[in-house]
Amino acid sequence: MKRFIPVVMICLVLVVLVGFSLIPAVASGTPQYGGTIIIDQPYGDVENLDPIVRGRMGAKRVTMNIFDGLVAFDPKTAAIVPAIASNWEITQDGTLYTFYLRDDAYFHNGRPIIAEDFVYSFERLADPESASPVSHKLDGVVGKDDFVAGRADHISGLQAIDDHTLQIQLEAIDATFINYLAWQALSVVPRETVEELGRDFGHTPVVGSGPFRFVDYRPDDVVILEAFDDYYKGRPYLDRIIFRLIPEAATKEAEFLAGNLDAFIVPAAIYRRFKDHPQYSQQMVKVAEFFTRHIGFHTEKEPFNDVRVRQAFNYAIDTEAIIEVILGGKGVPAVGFLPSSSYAFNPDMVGYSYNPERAKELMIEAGYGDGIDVPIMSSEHPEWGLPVVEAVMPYLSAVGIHLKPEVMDTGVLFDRLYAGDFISYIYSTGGDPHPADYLWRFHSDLSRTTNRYSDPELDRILAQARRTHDEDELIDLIAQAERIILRDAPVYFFHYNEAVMMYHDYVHGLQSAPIDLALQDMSLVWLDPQPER
Amino acid sequence: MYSYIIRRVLQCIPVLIGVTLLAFSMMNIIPGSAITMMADPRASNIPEELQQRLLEHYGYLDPLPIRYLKFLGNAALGDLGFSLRFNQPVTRIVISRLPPSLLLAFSASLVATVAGVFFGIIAAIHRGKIPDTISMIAALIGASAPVFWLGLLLMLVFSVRFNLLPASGWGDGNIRYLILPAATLGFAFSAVIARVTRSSMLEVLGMDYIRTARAKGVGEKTVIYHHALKNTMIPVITVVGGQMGRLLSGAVLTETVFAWPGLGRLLINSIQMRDLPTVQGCLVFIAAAFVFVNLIIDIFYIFLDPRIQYS
Repeated sequence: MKRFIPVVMICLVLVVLVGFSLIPAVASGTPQYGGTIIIDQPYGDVENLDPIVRGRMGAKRVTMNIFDGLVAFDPKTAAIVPAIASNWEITQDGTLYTFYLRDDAYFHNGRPIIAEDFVYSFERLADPESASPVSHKLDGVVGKDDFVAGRADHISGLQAIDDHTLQIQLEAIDATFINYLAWQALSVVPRETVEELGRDFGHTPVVGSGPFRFVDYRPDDVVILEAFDDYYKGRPYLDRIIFRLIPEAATKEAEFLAGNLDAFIVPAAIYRRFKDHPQYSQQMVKVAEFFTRHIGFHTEKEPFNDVRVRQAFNYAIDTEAIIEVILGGKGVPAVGFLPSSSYAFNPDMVGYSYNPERAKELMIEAGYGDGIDVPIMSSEHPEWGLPVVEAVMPYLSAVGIHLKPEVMDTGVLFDRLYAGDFISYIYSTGGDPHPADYLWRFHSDLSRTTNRYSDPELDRILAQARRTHDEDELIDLIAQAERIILRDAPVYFFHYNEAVMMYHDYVHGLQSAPIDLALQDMSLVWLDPQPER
Repeated sequence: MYSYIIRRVLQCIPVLIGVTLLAFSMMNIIPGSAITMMADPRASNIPEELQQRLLEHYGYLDPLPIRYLKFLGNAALGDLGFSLRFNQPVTRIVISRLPPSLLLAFSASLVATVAGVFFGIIAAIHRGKIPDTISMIAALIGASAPVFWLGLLLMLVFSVRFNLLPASGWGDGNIRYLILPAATLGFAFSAVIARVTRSSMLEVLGMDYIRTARAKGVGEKTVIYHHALKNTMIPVITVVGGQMGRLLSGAVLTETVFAWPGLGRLLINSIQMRDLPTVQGCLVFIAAAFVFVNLIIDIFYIFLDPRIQYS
């Protein structure tokens, strides 16, 4: 028996030693603090960091990490989650919102955030003097129009009840409204800094309340942020973020391979080469983004005023082949307009299949058996521009639709689109994540400025979908709306962009953000300890 | 000579007015609205009522001639207008792009001139022999290689493969970041300079005074570098000046490949975004740079060839 004791002791010691040696291996899965990440800035220069000045994606990738609002989009599902408002109530009639603010949220200048700061920030957005291109996000708030017209000094529908309670009164129920509150334009800004800097707010150190604070901005080059220690969700893991603007895809690839770029959004041309790479194919975040690439039809002009031609167009193209060949497989075939990442996406949806025979029949029925020339407006974009148009041309010619591409830049394309001066166009449009809002472009209110499509039943359903706070009802209404849109085919349903971000193995915590993969909540990202660059 | 310089400077004014008038008219003729481009065009458009309000705010509702005259009036006072893209004064934006642009233009010109003149002389001295052939083939490649191809090639070799130099970026003026873009841009321009130097040198070497010098027994090196080179340089300087004007106006391709924050990219992006004030601001600077470089070249001629007089 005595002999056993040392053996047992040795075994115990061994177990303990082995156990300890395992700890670091386990710990490598837990987030580490520190480090600088260099990440790309995919949509061009931020131009201005004041959240109300620009409506474009370029700045949002950066500003979403500097500023914070009442609520935020969940980084993975795009559902609305608390931010500075820890919780909120909506009255039964759906028009009065009461937000309860956290008491531990601070601006980067150290001042605590109170409800009055939101009133100031929202009024600044609406103020005509600010000339914000996104001020319409506040449409529907009681008293906004009077304030804009100068008939009132304040927006009467915005009330700071006390330091931590904010009420917003809407004119009518609108379930999509809370989504707008998650966008950067409705972030909170400190009055004292904005008034001190005036127009320079956005170019000199901007002050927000997000996880990172502004360090430097060099136009067309870099934006640098650093961790904000007093962030209410706790200090972010990273010490610094360097957003680098690299316009050329091949240069990004070179910088990535040289180790000077830690993660970047991959265009189709590069994806094609890395998707089967033994190492890098494992280091990608992918998501079917809220961008539906499509060919839009002017539904009041020949030949697309005939629904059969629009359906024939959809039947004529082998979409999967186009995605494979032109996009290197980087795309999810569209079975409707609402992307598959949406919580309201109907998994039972069946889109148009490749059926050239059916397409030919429809063309003959519509009286275009001899074929017809169709002009199409297109940019030169590799993924939703001329290369795609050229690839679908033979498919369409086979059923008698002869596309005549007109190549132009997006400025011209939009001018002609809104003026109704087109027959068809190819583009990639996104939208707010609320499904009723995403499909709103087919409501007569909005479609009269785009492809002039209109269906009274669809208008009614979408309006109803905007008014309900009941998720089951919403999902049901959206499914009905999608069926009408699919039947009437106001567009050729091409694909939902499959966005891909490639990263090095020491980068962790990147999210498959569906609104736009570029909109990364960097407070979730951390790095393995790295040698000095 | 001073009166000549003053006259030339004054000549700038009609040139600048012409350039801005042309840019102003063209930007207003082409379709596309800066207001539409301010919002995210991938989401829905800005409501019409708000568009009108923004147009009014930025003074876009005034008649065109009034807008142009306002621009001229302000420009005369050094105010080039207000950028819709950046929500900042254009003057400040253009000035912020000058250091990278000037640095790249001057260093690329330096690379091009030194390499071009050197290989041009080598080719001329060894006319018809192997060094001539090699130099001229290199020049041909330089003239025909697109900068985006050459740039990426250098990047792959020096940054990705051997990790000697940063691949792209401006690095706040750090010289290491300058080497690859300057070499890429300089190589393309050195080709033209080499060819001009060669033919000019050959012409000069055939002249009577060179034969005289040789007959006096002057050494070949002195003949080439002392007697011939100065006269060879007149057409070379003309070419270098023209190239430099072009480089100052921004080398868009090189700037794009190397993510260089220069004037060329600013101009192209501003055109795409229909930011007329910034486009105007860039063009005013570019036109002024062209006129200025040409003036400098004209003054240079006096030193190179005393027979040239401006009076």
